Amino acid sequence: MDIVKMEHVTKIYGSGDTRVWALDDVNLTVQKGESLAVVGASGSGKSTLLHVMGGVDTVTNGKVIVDDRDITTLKDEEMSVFRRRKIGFVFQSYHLIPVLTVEENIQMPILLDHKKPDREYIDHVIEMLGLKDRRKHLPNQLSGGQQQRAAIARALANRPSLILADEPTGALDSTNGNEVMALLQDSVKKLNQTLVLITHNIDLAREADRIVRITDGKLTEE
Amino acid sequence: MKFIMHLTIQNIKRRRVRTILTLLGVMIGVVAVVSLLSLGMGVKRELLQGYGDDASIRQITVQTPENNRNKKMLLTDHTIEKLAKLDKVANVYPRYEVFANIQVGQYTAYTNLVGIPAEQLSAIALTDTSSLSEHARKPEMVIGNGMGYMFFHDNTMTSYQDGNGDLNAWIGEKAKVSLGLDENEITDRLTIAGVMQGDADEFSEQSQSIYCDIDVLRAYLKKHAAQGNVLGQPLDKNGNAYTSWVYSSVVVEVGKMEDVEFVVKKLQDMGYQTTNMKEYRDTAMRTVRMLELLLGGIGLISFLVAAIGISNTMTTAVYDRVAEIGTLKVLGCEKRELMAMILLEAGIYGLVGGACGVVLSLLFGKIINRIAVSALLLEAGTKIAVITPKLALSAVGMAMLLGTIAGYFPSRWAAKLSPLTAMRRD
Repeated sequence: MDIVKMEHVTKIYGSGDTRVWALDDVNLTVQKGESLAVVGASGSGKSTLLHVMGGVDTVTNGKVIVDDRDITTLKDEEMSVFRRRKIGFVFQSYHLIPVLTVEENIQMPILLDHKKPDREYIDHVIEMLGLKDRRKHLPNQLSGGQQQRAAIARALANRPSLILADEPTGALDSTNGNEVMALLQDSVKKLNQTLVLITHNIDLAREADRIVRITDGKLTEE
Repeated sequence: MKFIMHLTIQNIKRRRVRTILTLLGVMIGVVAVVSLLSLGMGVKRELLQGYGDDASIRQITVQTPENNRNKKMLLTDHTIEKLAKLDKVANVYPRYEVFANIQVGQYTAYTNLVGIPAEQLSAIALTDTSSLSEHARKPEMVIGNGMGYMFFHDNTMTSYQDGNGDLNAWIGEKAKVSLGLDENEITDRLTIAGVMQGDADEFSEQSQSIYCDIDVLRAYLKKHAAQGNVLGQPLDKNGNAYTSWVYSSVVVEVGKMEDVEFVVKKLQDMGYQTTNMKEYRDTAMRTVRMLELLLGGIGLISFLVAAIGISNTMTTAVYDRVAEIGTLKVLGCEKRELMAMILLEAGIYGLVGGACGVVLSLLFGKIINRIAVSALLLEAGTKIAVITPKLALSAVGMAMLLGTIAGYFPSRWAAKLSPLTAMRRD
């Protein structure tokens, strides 16, 4: 089953002489349960690809179908609801809310959706990511690796259709980075989630089921 | 919404110093507004008390002008009939005043004995009515509660009141009274039949007057007329009395306060001289209103400064939290919830600052009152600063409202931030 289907997606920034083709006629499908790594140099358009897929950025042309819905037609508010229900985000610099505890941060997508968190599932995720003793801590009381684990837990919390990770190990040293990456891959597999991962680290990319390369907005399979 | 509320509270708690400073700003603003307004209200109340109650403001005293002793302008029963027919007039009654020298024991007062109709006289509340007789043949005197200050001791020249005398002790007493000033003077013993209710220091038009029944007085004066000249009656150019009885003044009672000017104008157009407390009160009111505007204006400025303080705090708060707000947006927080978060925070600053400000103002008010009493030699317990519950509540409400308004632009900014900002800050 296709979770993501991008058809002839083009994204152009700027106008006139300063026009930049961030995405140039991109066609891509991602299967349910698959993990896909997107590699490319900086400025190649890999972040834009992720933003477009997650409904954070708009496209200039083409269709982006996520979970059978063309998200390019959604209005702003519908997009907010779509994001909190269907997408789990993991950022390079964690982006935890500093005033909320680890547990509150993890539950945030559910609370923003005005729903009651599934205690058992949340506990399971917290345990899986080794944050059991840290749930009442504030983010700044945690190490970088722990913070990123909390961010991964947050991305998993609402059982999204798709997890999008943008250089999740970019701010970590290699030991921590490897450990976090292993946890991310492991959790995704265990919970039968779909993962799209951006990285410029080819070793990390090899852990994924499939790798695509993006160069000047154009996509090539590896 | 519960989550947004929780997040807001956590945000407020996190920035302690900023929160305290913002609250301080609001508090000072509220204290300024409340103290100044309450001061204005207190001054107004103190001032208006000196102008009597609503009933006395509705009364217009009509007199014959000094420069127009025309026979037509004399105040007679015919005048009363005529004035009673005027528009907006509820009641008209005559007064007849004669100069009186009243002596009770060693105390003497020089004043006017005022005759008013029986129904007016009986409307006055007395401390004791047992000495009033139904068919008096001589005027029975009803004396005002402030009259103790008008009786002076023949030797020491201190007033009866200052000597701690009680007017009620004189009820039933026969005073030695001389009516009139000249050779027509009537000297007799008249009964003090009653004392008006009220404190000696409560000043009103009545409190320093002596009243009696106008019909009794009239019959009495007629009976004691010397060579056909009745005491207090004017004479024409030839030195003869007029055929009809002439009153000293006529009281016109207007039905509604707002019609007082209308009736005054009408009476003046007819050529009469009028006296009414309303114009004095209105002049005083205008002054007070200007004072209130001035005080309120100063207060409002500090209020506005406080609101700008909140706006500034919230703008900085949004700026500091750009990444955080972006994250919330990426994770699916809706625009209106983000706006609510900022507005709520600003509103809380207003509410808490306002409430603390009101509490502080109450304390301030107490201090102001104490200082005012000792510095201005006011009566103990006089309240210059009056903070009514309405004032207190509206101050808190205003602070909250202004806070929320101050948070509006920062909140719109937060709502408009692109979710991409969060990701670009990486």
